[in-house]
Amino acid sequence: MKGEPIVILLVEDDPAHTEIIKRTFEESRLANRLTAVEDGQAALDYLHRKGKYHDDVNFPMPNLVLLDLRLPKVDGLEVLKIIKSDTKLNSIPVVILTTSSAEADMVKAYEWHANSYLVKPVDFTQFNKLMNTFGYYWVVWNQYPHDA
Amino acid sequence: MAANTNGTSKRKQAARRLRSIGKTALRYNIGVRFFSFVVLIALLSGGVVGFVMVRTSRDYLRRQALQNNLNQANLAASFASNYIAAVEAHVKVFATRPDIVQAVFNGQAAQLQPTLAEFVQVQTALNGVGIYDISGTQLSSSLTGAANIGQSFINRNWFQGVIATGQPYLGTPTLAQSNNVPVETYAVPIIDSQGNIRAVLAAGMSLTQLSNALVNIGYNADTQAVLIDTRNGGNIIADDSSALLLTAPVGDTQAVNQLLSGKSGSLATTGSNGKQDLTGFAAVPGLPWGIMVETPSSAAFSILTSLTERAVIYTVLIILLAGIFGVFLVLGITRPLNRLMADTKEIGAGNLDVKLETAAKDEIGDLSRAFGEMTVKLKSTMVSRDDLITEVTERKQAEEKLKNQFAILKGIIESPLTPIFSVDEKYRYTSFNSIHAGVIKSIYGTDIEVGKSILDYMLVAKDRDIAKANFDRALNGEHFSDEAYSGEESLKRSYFIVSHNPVRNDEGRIIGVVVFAQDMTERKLLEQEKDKYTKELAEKNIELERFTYTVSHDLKSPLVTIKTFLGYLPQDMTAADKQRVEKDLLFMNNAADKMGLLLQELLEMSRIGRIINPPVKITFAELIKEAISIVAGSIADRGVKVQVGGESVTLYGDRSRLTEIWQNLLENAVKFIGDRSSPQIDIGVERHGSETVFFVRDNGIGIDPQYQSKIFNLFEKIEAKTEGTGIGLAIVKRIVELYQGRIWVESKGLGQGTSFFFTLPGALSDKDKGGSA
Repeated sequence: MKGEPIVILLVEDDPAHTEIIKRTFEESRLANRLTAVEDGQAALDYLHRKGKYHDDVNFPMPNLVLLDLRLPKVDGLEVLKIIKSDTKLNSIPVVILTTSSAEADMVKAYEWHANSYLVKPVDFTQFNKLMNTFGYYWVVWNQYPHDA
Repeated sequence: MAANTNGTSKRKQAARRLRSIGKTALRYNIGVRFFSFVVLIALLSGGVVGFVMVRTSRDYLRRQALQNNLNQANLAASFASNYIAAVEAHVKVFATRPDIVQAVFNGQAAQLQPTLAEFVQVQTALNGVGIYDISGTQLSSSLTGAANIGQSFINRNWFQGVIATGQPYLGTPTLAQSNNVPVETYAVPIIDSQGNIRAVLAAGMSLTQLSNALVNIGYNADTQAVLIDTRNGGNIIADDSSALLLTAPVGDTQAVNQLLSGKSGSLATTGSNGKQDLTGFAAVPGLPWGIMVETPSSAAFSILTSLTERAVIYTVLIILLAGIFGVFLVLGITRPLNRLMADTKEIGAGNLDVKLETAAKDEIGDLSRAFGEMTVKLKSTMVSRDDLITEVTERKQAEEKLKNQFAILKGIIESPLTPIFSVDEKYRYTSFNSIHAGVIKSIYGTDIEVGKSILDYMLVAKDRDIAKANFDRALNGEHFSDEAYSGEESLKRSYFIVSHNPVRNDEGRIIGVVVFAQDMTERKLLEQEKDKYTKELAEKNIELERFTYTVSHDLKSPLVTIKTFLGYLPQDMTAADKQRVEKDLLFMNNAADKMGLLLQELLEMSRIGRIINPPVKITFAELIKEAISIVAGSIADRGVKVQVGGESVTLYGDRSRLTEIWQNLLENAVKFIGDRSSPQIDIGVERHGSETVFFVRDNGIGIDPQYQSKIFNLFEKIEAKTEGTGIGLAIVKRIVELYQGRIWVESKGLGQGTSFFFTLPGALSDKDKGGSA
């Protein structure tokens, strides 16, 4: 496990947030590889290996998807729905990471088989703590099938 | 009850009176006439028959008696003739007996007495025989004692007759002295061989026997026979009455004369006593005699008389019997007739309970029976008439009741303020209240009438079909309520809740439908409005939710950014990583700017519909001109050609808001115009049916159809990197909806250009208000 970093696909439209998440992962020094796309459509294209995402070296298939809900073009929930409906993709854990703590969003996310639902804390410490915990959990402890 | 009894007894009295009147009238009419008729018939027939019979019988009896008398006279004459001839023959033979003749010749006639006596004894018809000499002196006699011997009988006609004629001669009658019996002497000459008369033998013939035979036998009690010697004017020689012997015959001179002249015949003669006699008369052959048989006509007609008497008696008896019978007959006829009449009168007086006696098996019985049957029928008729009267009365009452009930019903159906009507199985009105009539008038513009089909009044085919289907359901026995939406579009399309109720007759057959309708138009409109508001509210809620969500998410995002980079800042500063610190500050600055923009736009957004400028009239051209002038800078930068067309439309509303629509759409179009060589934006108005549709069309990058539904959402951006917050189209949509319009986008995809269409009915409908600007 150690030798093979966990590939995480981050779907986040806000470049500031992408920066924050990248930074927390860097600081945690966990063996992982974070790839970011900024809208839903791009995420789907990535997963479906469409266009430039056909390149397995630069865009390897992720072990985990970190998905924001409010996305341009294709909404986060829609992306979730498509992933979980696709037998080739539905084994990939999808963790929702969003600013929305709306009940409706949570319910819908779990209905569509989101593996976890995390709300971005406004507080810096909290955000850091969350990302560390997330890292340990999903990168260190969580086990992924080899041929995912 | 008392009145009824009184009425019955009165009726009975009337009937009794009528019966007695009927009786008297009948007695003097039919009874008497009938009785008189019977008697008259009996008398007339009896009289005529009697008269004819008597008349016929009298003639017949007269003829019979006359013939009878003649026959008897002839018979008697014949008898007398034979009788005398026989006696004369004996006498003649005796006179020629040799001993007699010898004795006479010898003069010994006197000694002949025993011979003569013997002869007289044998010949019972002879009284005595004597022999006389030619001088008339008696020579011998059959009588003993010989008192007359020697006496001369020369003056006797029988002696003179014989001497004169030389022939036997019958002397005229005389009465025998001995027994007063008529005697005729038959004298016969005793002649010698030379033919000289030598003596005369005279035999006295007693006519007693003959008389008895002629007079007493074979006649009717009243019939008498008279033997007459026609010589010397006639002498009765045999008669019932010995007193008349040897007297001249009396009675009918005509008959006597004829008899005396030797004729035979019969005559009805009137005797000296004035009585009629029926006389038959006949001459006795060979003798100077005649016989007369007389019957008094009274005797001859005695049978007739007694017959007549009996006839009279019988007639009287018959009349009596006929009278009695007649009385019974008349009573037999009149009594039932009287009864019948009385009953009839009583029936006529109204008492139909009178029982007619129908025992008699005659015509009256038949009449009575027929009448009885008629009465029974009449009674039943009267009963049915009474029933009819009762029924009529009841029906009248029922009708009255019905009328009242109808009035009540009418009152009832008029009472509620909702339409009520009923139809029969052919959808024809059987009733309706004025509300219903008013409704039909208001929604179809026609006046309705009972008897006409409601369907004919429903001028909208759809309404008619629905109504017919509903009536048919009810006519199939279903009770139900349903909504109906009917009426002419141009008049007043109205909503109703209609309750259909089948109407059944006594037999349970459905004969129509009663419909209660409730005009729900007002309520429906309210409901519709409510629905609209509810929907709007729901939409607003969703929008609000989305707004809240968006706000919470989109405003939170820069906050998270600021807070986090603020968190990194001290450590980056401690690490003296200048690059990092600048980056942190840039992120924080951008986030703060974004927040400021978002807040400004949110404020702007919230102002739409909240802060409204007074509405003004503004032409489409003016609005476009204003919008273009605002966006003129960016249009010029990109070198976009803007073309405005379409008809001139005047709008009425918040001028700045209306301008904002085109302003935002123009900005959006310019933003996504792409890098075409000849970018162009067309602005105009189109007519889509009755709808006025505005459009803003560009030949820019276009929109992927899959994202077209999202573009009007607040803070929705198709491309994350494009400038702006994604509020422009949300604002446009908000303003369009403020004017009850809708907005949609058409694009065939990327690179195909985009067309925004929208309507503004709220701004257009007020275009003619004018003045208030």
